Amino acid sequence: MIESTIDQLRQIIAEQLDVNIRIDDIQADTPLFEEGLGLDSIAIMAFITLIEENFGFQFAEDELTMEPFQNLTTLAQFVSAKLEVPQN
Amino acid sequence: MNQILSGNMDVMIMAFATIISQVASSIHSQNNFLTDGRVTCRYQQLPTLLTAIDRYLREQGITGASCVALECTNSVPGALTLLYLFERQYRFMLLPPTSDKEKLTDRKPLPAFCQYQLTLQPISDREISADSLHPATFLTINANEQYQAESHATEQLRAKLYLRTSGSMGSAKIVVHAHEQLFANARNAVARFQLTSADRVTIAVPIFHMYGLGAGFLPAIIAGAAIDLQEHTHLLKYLEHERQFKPTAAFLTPALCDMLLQRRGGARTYRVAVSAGARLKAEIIRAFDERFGPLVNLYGSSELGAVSAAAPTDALELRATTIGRPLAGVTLAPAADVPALDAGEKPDASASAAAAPRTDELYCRHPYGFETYIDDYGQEIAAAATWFKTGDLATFSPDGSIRILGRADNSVNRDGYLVLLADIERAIEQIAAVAQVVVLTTPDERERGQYLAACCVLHPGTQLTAMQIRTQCFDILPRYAIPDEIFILDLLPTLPSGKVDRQALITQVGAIHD
Repeated sequence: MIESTIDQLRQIIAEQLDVNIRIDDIQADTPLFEEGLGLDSIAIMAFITLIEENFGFQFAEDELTMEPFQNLTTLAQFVSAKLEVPQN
Repeated sequence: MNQILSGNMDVMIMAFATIISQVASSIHSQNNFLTDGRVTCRYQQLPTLLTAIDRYLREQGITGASCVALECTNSVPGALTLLYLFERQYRFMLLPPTSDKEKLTDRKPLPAFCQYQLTLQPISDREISADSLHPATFLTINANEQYQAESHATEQLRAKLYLRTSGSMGSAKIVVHAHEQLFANARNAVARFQLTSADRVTIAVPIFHMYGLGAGFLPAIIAGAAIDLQEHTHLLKYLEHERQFKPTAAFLTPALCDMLLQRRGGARTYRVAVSAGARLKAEIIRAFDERFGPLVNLYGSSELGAVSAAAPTDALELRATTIGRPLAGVTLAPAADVPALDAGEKPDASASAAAAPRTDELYCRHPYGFETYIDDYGQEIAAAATWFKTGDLATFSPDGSIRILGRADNSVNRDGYLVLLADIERAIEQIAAVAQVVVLTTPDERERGQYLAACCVLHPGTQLTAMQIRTQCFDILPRYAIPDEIFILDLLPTLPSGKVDRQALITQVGAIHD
């Protein structure tokens, strides 16, 4: 489950985000910000929206923290947990 | 007005060292702190911390007589080093950190007249107290290998700040400011934003640029306000800082304002939020106002610092559509009025009386503006003229408020950077298959600013898709200058003179969109 979510997230970054990052350069543990993929503030906004569209949920404001966005593993764990809990 | 400095005229000639010792000892500010989320220090610790930096630099042979370049980060160590250089009246250059990968064009060589380069080391610990902060752990000193002493005498030269113009990507002009003038300009900003030691100021824009430094950081220090510095901020980092710091005042970019509107809840409000770097759309200001509190447009430049801004107490419509009124002592005038003003005539009273708004190129006479432009060897290029040509078109209203319409020349504002279309053309021409390229813009706003399109004609026999060209742009242009769209055309429309017909191209590009 986590693996396929990670793959889906890699595809979103490589194919849907306007950043020019190749899928092979995105590993599950690559940091998303400066020290890794270098997503800038505009790319991160677009990424958040794309995650919501692709997985069908909305981030609450208090879920928008650095914690889940460390790398694709932490993000996939967050997304999976979010999808397991019925939306209310 | 400021609780500590209370509008006393003596303030005008007060040395920065005195300001530091005042904010460090005043009961209103001594317990206020500077934080970057990791390192926190109180105003009362400043004298000790700045003395430690002084001791460390002297050990390395650096004194106030040396010219240094500081690659400043939005961090407490960065802020301390910056305050130290001001306090000891250094002449110094402020630069972005070279680790800023995305801003490739900011990576110009160190100016030859800077003897040393100071860089800041990231602090790895989650949270550390300023007491255990030793300059040797955060400050790296390198001698500039390209150093060349200036040809003119510099022994007496003190208390200058050097900044690169945020202008075009290619030019290498350096702006020279006297510290005193910067502080006077900062006091102007304190007054306009009504900053006091009761404020908690979050600075989400770089303090190595004039906006963050001259309108945000220095005013907040002079006011003795609590300060939160955000490095390379984005929505997630911003919200995280905000939950911790609970700011009353925020220095933002238009892009950040837009993001906050999309994603931030309305539970917390600001006393004042400031945006600069590019024009904010009126609807953003209105929406922001309703949910988060008064937002004001600040207008300024690397050369002049803060020029004009609305006050948080101004009426919403004035804030939404204008840059407010000029700061104390600043004159903004339409190009047509400049000769009359130079001749000592009164500002055109008849025009104001006519109560009709006028649109013209914007000129500025600033009492605290820059002194001169120099090159990388410290040679003067051109001294500041009495009137500074801003290059912007503005509408002047009879009530004294000013509305910026955009650039008067072929340039655009993207992510807060001024980008000359010609600079992008020059970069794209380097792509081997591209024979001819014209970059154009329309008033449409995209996420990075005004829309940019590049229309390319390829060399016969070459094959390159628009997508491939755009991908190559990522290697040759900074992120903010990459055109939103690339078009490959068989030929470019020309005017009878043979020049490219930009208007026809804009129509053509518009037709592709429809």
